[in-house]
Amino acid sequence: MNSWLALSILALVCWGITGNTQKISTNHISTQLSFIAFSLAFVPVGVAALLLLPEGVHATRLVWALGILSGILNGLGALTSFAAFSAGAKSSVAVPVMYLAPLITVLMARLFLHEQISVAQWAGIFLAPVSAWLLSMESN
Amino acid sequence: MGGYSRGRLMPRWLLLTMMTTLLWGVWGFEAKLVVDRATPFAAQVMFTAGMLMLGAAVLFSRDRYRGVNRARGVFYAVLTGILGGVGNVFFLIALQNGKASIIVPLTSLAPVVTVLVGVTVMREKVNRYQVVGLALALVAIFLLSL
Repeated sequence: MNSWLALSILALVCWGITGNTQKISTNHISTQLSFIAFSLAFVPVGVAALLLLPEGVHATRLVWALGILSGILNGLGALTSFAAFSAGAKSSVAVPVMYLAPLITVLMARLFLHEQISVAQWAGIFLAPVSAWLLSMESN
Repeated sequence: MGGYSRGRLMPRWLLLTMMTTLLWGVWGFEAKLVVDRATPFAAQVMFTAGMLMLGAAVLFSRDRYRGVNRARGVFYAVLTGILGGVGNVFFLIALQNGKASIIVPLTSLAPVVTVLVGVTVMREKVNRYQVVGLALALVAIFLLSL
């Protein structure tokens, strides 16, 4: 097996398991504490990135603002995902819905950056809401 | 499973799940604006700063220490962050050596692992509609990543 293929599969497994570990975490502690502990785990990654930049981070104020906003947006998404699990979402149902996020990204890129949407992506855009609706059908 | 709250059209867990989809979708767009203007490592530093700012804000929350088994809960929350970060590193190294046209669609199927672990290890029950929805979601995720 190619090394890049093995690494891709490892990334897939790591990301996939995070959906389960999030759920287990909220079975024991609050959404807020889960998020605080989760965000602290990013410190070593940020420090490692800083160490790999011996010349430091050179960027305009606008880029810094965009970069920080990026962290806040992703963090807010993580916070609502912890809250969803805390509210009773199953990892096997909620995570596939959360992974439909590129639907929003693709539509925003089309709207604001005028990027082209491929036929395959259009098919995905129409399929995504149907799948989310079916996944949300919880028998009570 | 969490019930319908008064005045809501959908269960609370579903509303929060869809808010997550929306926030991460907007983040995907906004992150593109960042990586077009900064190196991936510099973007990671800024990203961490934003994440920690939010974490600091949540520290003021009233329920921050609530929990029945704090050590176990914190362990799994930290593990989530570490697995996410390690996954990012594997993904970036794979992109340096392989084709993005294969790696991105392949890694987008991570929910397969979540569902397998959820159903087999965590004993989560999934009904027949959700099985069909899951299959369609995986196809949609794959198509959107092409």
